[in-house]
Amino acid sequence: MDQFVADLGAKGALSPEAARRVAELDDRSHLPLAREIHALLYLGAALILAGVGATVKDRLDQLGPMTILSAVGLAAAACFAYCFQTGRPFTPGKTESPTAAFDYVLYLACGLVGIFFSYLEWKWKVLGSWWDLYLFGSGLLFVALSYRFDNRLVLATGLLNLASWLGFRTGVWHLFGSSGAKPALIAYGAALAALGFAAAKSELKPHFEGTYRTLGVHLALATLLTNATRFSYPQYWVLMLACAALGARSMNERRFDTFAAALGYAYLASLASVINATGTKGGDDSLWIILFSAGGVIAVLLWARARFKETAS
Amino acid sequence: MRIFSADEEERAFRHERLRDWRAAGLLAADKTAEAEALAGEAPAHASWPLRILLFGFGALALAALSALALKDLQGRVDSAFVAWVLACVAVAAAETGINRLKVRRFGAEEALVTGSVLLVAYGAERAFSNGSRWHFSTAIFSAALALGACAAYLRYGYRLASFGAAVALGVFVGSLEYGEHATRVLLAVLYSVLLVAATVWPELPRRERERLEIARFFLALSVPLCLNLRLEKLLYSWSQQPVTGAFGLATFAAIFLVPLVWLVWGALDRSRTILWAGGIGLLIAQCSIKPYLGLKRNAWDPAVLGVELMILALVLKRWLDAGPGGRRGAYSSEALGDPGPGAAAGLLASAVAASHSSPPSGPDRPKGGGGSFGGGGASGGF
Repeated sequence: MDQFVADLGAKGALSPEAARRVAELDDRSHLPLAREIHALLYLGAALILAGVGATVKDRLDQLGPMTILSAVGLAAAACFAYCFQTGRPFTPGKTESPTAAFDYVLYLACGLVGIFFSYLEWKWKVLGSWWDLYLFGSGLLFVALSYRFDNRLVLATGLLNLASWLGFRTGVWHLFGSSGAKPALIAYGAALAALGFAAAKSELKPHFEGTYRTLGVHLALATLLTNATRFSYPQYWVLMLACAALGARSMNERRFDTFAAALGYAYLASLASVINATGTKGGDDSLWIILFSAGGVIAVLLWARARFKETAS
Repeated sequence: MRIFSADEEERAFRHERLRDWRAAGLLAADKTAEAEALAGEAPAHASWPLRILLFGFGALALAALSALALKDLQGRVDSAFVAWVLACVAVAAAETGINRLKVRRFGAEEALVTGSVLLVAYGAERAFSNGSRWHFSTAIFSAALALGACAAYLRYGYRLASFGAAVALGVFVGSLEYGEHATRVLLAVLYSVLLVAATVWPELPRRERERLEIARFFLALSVPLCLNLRLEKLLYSWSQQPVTGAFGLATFAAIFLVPLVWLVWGALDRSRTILWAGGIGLLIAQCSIKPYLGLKRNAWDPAVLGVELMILALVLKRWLDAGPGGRRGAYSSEALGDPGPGAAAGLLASAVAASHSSPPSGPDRPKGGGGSFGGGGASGGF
């Protein structure tokens, strides 16, 4: 056994069982392959969906609509049947998957549902100009399934489907005039971020918090960023305020990834605005601005790190 | 030679191991402080998000400074001189930061060292080549880059430097104009030799061997990739000319045999990196069969491969679980930490799926958009 591991074991920092397992991993007398198995399963599920989608697209004439719908529908139903049959009962906390393949079969089922409705709409235009209701419906279904079976992969897919529906529908209705779907997407992103912060404190799937927060923060800030390229635009100041609020909140909660995202978006917006204001695209001034602003961001990051460490201790 | 003493390196390595054990659930949270105290004080270390950010902004600042200094220079010797001066300044800044702030793997100093290696290579190309022959310029640039990356690895122990040295050596061999076949064989031999050297180099401490694992993975994977004559056509769906001739057939055999050898070696040596290199190499070899034989791809080929992979995973898991104590020799399907689909994987998968989808061109003519419905990677162009 490695001397360091032996010392940790002798001082009680590692339990005898943990010390034995660490020693096994160190001398390679034990090599767990769970990550490899999960990687194969995920790659397999993704390739199956890609292959089914391509086949449905390329072989429309040969296969016929009923064959396609039956095959895809039956496959999706079989996957769902497997999930409902083998899935553990719902619990508000974290639920372990019953089998290694379970999460990927559920993901496969959701993907097949998407292909099924895509083909259905393309072939018969059942909903016509309201086709986006498929996005809305499948988004809600996936979110519900993600809670039922405790699957963050499916949750993220469902939330993105809902974002797509919202973006498309508000654009079609011209709810926000020339702004298009952006205000709705910003509000949706903010709502997701708020849900993330709320999820962390709730007892219902608190480990979903990261998915809500990451998706919400990036959706809201990236949408704001598209128009926040001049100091005269209100979107710039809204973005700055949002970044400041997020930065302060993430500082309190010691979430460096959120802090870094807020800093990154604020930097990009400010850089674009400064370059637009000075009209120095490609010139020496731009390079000086990049040089000093990058140095400034490094200083802020180092200051933030010191603050994060202070709050940790 | 190494900027950190062996003792500092060992302490930093111990802290890295503690982080791994914590992630794997082997070290209890309430014992972490005690274990870290036993590991000794290590140089300051940044978390991955901070390290990437500091690296990015450090590289941006150095790139802007270099552009300011170099963009108006006309003479090649002047450019070379200024680039080398900038490289010296960057290295001096990195060394000062490391020594004064007692930091290790902090991002910004890594960006400075990386930038200085690139500046040295750029300066060498400007100084020793007149720019008239592209291959000669590439040879000088890549040779200087390889030397600089080797020096950076010896001095700082950066994994990126070992990886960069291997890539630069490959580019150097590619610039020698020996013809396609000879270049491919030379590259395969070069990477094999480097792989053997990284594996059997005597008296390397364990921390150094673990640091070289990423380079070993790259080298092992590169050998079959260099010999694959249809690598760049893997994504084409139409039929191509089949590969013929002794060399073509030999490479066809080699792209299967080499990954198989890696798999056997990795299994015997219980080396995860070599197993990964063999597995990915074999997967790429399987995808190369049709391009090699000049056969047209079918739309369902990815689905067949996906089914194969899922069956392989399940059979492997069942076989491992059926062994005595859930193990087959050293191997088990036991999970350490959380190997399942997490938030990051979910977001990545959804982002990829969403990128396939396209909204209808108008309300009257929906085009489908499979990816956006299910996030399944289905094409949106029905």
